[in-house]
Amino acid sequence: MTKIFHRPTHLQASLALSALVLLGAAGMRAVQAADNATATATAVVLAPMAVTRFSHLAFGNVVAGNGVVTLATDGTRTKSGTTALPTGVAGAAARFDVTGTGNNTFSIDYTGSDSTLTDGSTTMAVDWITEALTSTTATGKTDETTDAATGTLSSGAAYIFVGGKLTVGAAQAAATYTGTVKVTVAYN
Amino acid sequence: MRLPARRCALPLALLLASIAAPAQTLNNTAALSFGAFTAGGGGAISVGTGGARMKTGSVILVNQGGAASAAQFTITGTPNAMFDISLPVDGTVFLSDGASGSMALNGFTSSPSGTGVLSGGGTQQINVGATLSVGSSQATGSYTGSFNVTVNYQ
Amino acid sequence: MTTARHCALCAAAGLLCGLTPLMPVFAASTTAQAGATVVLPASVNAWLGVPVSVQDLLLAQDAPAGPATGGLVPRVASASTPAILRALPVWIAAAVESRQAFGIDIVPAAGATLLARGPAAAVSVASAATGGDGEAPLVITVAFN
Repeated sequence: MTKIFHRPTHLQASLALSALVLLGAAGMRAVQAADNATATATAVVLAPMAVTRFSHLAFGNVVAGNGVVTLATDGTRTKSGTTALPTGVAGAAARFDVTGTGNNTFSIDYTGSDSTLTDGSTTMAVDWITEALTSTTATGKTDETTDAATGTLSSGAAYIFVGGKLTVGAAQAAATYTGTVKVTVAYN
Repeated sequence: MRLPARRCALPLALLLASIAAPAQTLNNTAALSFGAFTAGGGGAISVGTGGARMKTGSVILVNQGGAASAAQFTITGTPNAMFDISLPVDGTVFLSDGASGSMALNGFTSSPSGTGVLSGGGTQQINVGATLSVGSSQATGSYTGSFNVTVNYQ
Repeated sequence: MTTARHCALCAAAGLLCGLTPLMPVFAASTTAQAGATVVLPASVNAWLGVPVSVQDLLLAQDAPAGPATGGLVPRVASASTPAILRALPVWIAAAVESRQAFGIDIVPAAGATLLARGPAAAVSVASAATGGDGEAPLVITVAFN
């Protein structure tokens, strides 16, 4: 019986196999010619900070002989001299309300605040007592040596309380003395 | 009839070599982050391929809320192979806050730039930076988006 | 971003940082007023405790008014001082006339005892030291609120 199909020669078989292999290899490289990946990009936009004055600072009535009158951040007054503090006008600490975003921290600067209260001609030296809290209740801080230089927002809000230590002279003239406290806040 | 062993060796070797070729992969290993800032009067924030963040205009950068960082991709594949890098064109990528806030992400840069070469071990790292446009009344919130990087092996 | 633009941006940022003040441009600030009122103290005259002699009354009337800022209030020692507490009513001149509320601070020398304070126009103090008022002078300061 005559064989119908023509068995390929060795060379043809080799060539056919080679071609098959080359085709296969080239085909596999074509699948891997390019690749891509996706990356995520993120950014957080914060609301600008703002600060408003909620209440002014008042030492109330003082008299020569009171010495150094301390107004704590919760508004309570004490004196160091031998003379009683007149109680007709209550003391009050200043309170600043700070707003921003989230629970971010911020810096506090007091540049621009006065270091004396004056009636226009005579002065009384004053040293501010400051604290920054996330609650509207002050702690009654009386330490004036370290000012609150940073604060932390809580759900976008914080509060800065300012009291002070006022030096009343032995012969202080009777008058109304005033000064200014300035606070500046910024994300840090 | 036996096939000559020598004539089969070459195609067989080719076949084996092709089957054993390593898979070329591109994976994203780090996100592109611009950190936190306030819009101020608007401007732009750019993160370089080294992760450095700079701003133009009156945007105010804030040092909290996450550090800025460049996106990172890792390629693995044939050692010493060359590849082209394709970055998104301007005007195609935007970050969104999930509502109506949107910021355009343009000026994509990469390191290596344009083309790169896989190391002898068959790997390479691509860092990608870009510039974010911030509007003067940009709504506050967390913005996210995504972008594609394509590499073509030569 | 090309390297040239990167360097230009760095230079611009450096120049900007050098020119701008330390305070961030968009930092928020506000002020509050601080106030204090210095009030004048009132003059204090002291009477001797009861019973007093006519001599004591005359001496007390002629005695200088108590210093407003807390100096010593001189009192005449009684020759027969009992070792008991004696009340010393303090007459505050302006308070009686104007009936203003006032604050008073009395700093006793060693051994003095302060009794409970009376109505706005009178304060009772006493000295528990041996010899009575003459042995333990008090410093009395009164100021209107």
